[in-house]
Order: sequence, then C-alpha cells, then structure tokens
Amino acid sequence: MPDKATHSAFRTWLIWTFLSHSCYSYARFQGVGLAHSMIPVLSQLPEEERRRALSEYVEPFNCEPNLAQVLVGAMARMEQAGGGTKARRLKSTASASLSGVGDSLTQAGVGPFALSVALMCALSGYVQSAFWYAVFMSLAVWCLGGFLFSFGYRHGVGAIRRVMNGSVQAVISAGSAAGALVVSGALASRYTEVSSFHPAVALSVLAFSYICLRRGLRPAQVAAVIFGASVIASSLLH
Amino acid sequence: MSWVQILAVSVVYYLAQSPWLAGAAYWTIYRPLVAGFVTGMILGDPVLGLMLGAGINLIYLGFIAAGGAIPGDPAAAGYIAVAVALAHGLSRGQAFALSLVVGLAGAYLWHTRLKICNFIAERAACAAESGDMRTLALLNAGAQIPVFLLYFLSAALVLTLSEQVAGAITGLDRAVNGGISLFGSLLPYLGISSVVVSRMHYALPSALLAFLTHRYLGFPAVLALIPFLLMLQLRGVRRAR
Repeated sequence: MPDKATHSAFRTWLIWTFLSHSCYSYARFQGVGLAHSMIPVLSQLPEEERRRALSEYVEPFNCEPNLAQVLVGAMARMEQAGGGTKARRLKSTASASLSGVGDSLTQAGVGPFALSVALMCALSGYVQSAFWYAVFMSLAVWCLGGFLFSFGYRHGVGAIRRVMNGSVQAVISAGSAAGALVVSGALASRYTEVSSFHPAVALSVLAFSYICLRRGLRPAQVAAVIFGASVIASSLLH
Repeated sequence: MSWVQILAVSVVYYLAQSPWLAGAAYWTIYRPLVAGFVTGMILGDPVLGLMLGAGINLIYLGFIAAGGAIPGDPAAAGYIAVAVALAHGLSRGQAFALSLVVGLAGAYLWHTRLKICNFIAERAACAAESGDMRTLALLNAGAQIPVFLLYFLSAALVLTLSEQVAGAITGLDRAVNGGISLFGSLLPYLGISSVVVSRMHYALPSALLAFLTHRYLGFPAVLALIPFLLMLQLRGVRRAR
C-alpha cells in the first residue's frame, strides 16, 4: 500500500495530466489548472496557509505541459515537506526556462519529426500510418509525463536543473529538428509526385514562399499572393 | 451526411480540443492527418480521408502553439474540410482551400474559448483566495462545459450547412473555381516552406538536397541525410559561438 503522501502526489499528477488546460485563459493561462492540481497536497495545511498557497498558485502560469510535470512533481514534494514558500518561488523562476526547453523538445523537435515521418508514410499509401502515429505519440506523452513527474517528486530542484541543462534532450531536440527539416524536404518531393505537378513548379513555389517568409511576410499574406496568381493563371488557361 | 455522422464528427472535433485524453489529444486527433483518417472512417472512406488529411496537414506542417498564440486551427481544418469534401465530392485543391478558411475560423473559436475561460478563471481565483477548494476544482473541470458547447455547436452548424458550403465553392465561375483548386493544391508548399524558415543552419540547402535525394534515390536515402545534417548543425552552432 502506498503511503498517504504518495497517494496525494499521485492525485496531483492525475489532475495536472488531465485538467492542466481545462480552464486555459488569457488572464491566467494554466494558473487555475495548477491550483486545482495542488489541492491534494495542500489539503493537510492549516486554513490560513492553504488560502495563501492557493491564491499564489492561481496566478498566471504558462509552461509547456509535459516538461512542467517535473516542476509540478518537485513543488508537490516541497509542499508536503513544509517548504511551500520555496516551492512557489521556484514556480516563478523555473517555468519560463522549462517552457523553452519543452517547446524545443516537443513542439519543434520530436512532434514535427514523428508527424512528418507519418505524413510520408500516409502519402506513400500506408493507410495505418495515422493509427500508428497516434499510438506512438500517446504513449510518448503519457510515459514522458509520468516519468518526469516522479523524477521531480523524487529529486526536487535537482531534477529541474538536470532537465534544463541535460545534454540528452539537447541532442534529441537538435536531431529531431534536423530530421523534421530533411523529411519535410522529402515530403515536398512526395507531394509533387502525388499531385503530379512538374518539379519546376514545386521548386519555384517553394522558393517563392521561402523568400517571402524570410523577408517577414505573414503566411496569410503569402497565401493571398499565391491565390491571386492561381486565379490569373487559371483564367488565362481557360 | 446523416445526423449521426454530423454528431460523431462534431464530438471528435471537441475531443481534439479537450483534455480528456490526458494531454495526448493535442499530439494525435488534433492533427489533420489523424483527423482526416477518423472523419474518413465516420463517413465511410478512410483511405480518401487519410489522403486529404495528410495534404491538409502539410499546410499546417509549421504549426506551433507556443505561449498560447495559435495561427489557425489544424483540427478545424482537418475535421470540417475533410467531412465537407467527402460528403460532397470536392476535389483535393478545393478541400485544401476550404481547410485554410475553416482553420482561420477555428482560430477565432480558440480566441473565444480563452475569453470565456477568462470569466471562469476570475471566479476560480476568488474561490482560491477564500480557500474554497471544492469550488475551485468544480470551476476548473466545469470550464469544459462551455468549451464543449462552443466547439460542438460550431462544428455541427457548419456540417449541417455543408451542402451550402460546398455549393459556395463549386457554384463559382469555372475559371475562378479552377483558380481555387490550383491555389489549394499549391498551399502544401507554403506549409513546407514555413518549416524550412527555421533558425537552423543551412536550412534551405538541406531541404533542397532532401527534395532531390527523394526524387532520384528514394526515401531511405533521405533518412541517411539526417546524421549528416546534424553534424552540419553542430558545426554551425560551434561557429556561431
């Protein structure tokens, strides 16, 4: 039987995993979700202390939700050990840098790489690709979240420091970003075959969009230019 | 589309925006690739659904939602555009062009959702300040009720009017219609360029090399390029320091 402290930490993990973004808002981002997650570990505190803790947790908080697990785990342990003030100070200092590491690992790294490989398989006619992609990503998200929470819960601030400065995730981030870039080049070629465009058309549209985006135009503006050109080309052809 | 199909697509579209898959929804059913496949299964043509979804996902390849800002809604583009295209036989280009419009409308839904949650968050903050844990928990979980209504009803409304939506595209003048198809078919290249415009070193030459390698040597040769590119990256980073 797990002891009472571990049980309430488990409930904190469960609430964060399911409901961190339930009440995501401009005013407080995940603040309400974080305060809700911390309830199980705060319920033993005296009334006055608990009130202060909750009103600090409900303040604006925005972090990449998977990497934030290590922070939530560490804060849960600190609250249980009576270091609440330290935990809340940690919240404001660690969240921004954790978010940066998290976004480059998941949103710009592993996520796009896995997706572009799945898209390659789908465009090559492998019908199950969407299913396997969904299974892989779900397992990755759940395992990473569970691991990071328990890592943070066991090692506290040390865990956060190791996650932020670790070389393993830096290599994974860089490698998968490189992978995503290369596979997206190949995707352009595969899509050209599927849609039977001439490669010259594909490369010129790619180069045109690249130059426009590079010069700071918004994607919507580039799309508007492509739309105009398409309508003109089509009416000349008809 | 039968009303059961409309109901099913709208519910899955809400699920893609919801937290009920323990954080996995954003990485799975939120993406047009999976959305197209699921919609295809609901409407009875998973293979065509998957192909349309994959193409729409190319448009949203550079999609990233860091910091709460969202440039379009890939899930709306996936579910709504694929459903309308499958039910009314839109061409690939027409479906892609429609997905762009629907994606922009979806971004507006996201904005509305966060504004609605602003109100709930203020109530929750009051509950937190008075130490009322029960109300705080109820408000956080209960925020999903208006979010559900927002997404479900919007999707159901558009899908109920899908015939008119499809008619608005197909009923246009032939030249304009051809233009829309061509425009839609070219959009994936814009999506791919938005990935190439990254902070990585040698991004454009790498992508071009991958394009040519895939064309003449096949996909396995492309995968062999990744370690080479990673070495280039490390060299670039070292030089920048």
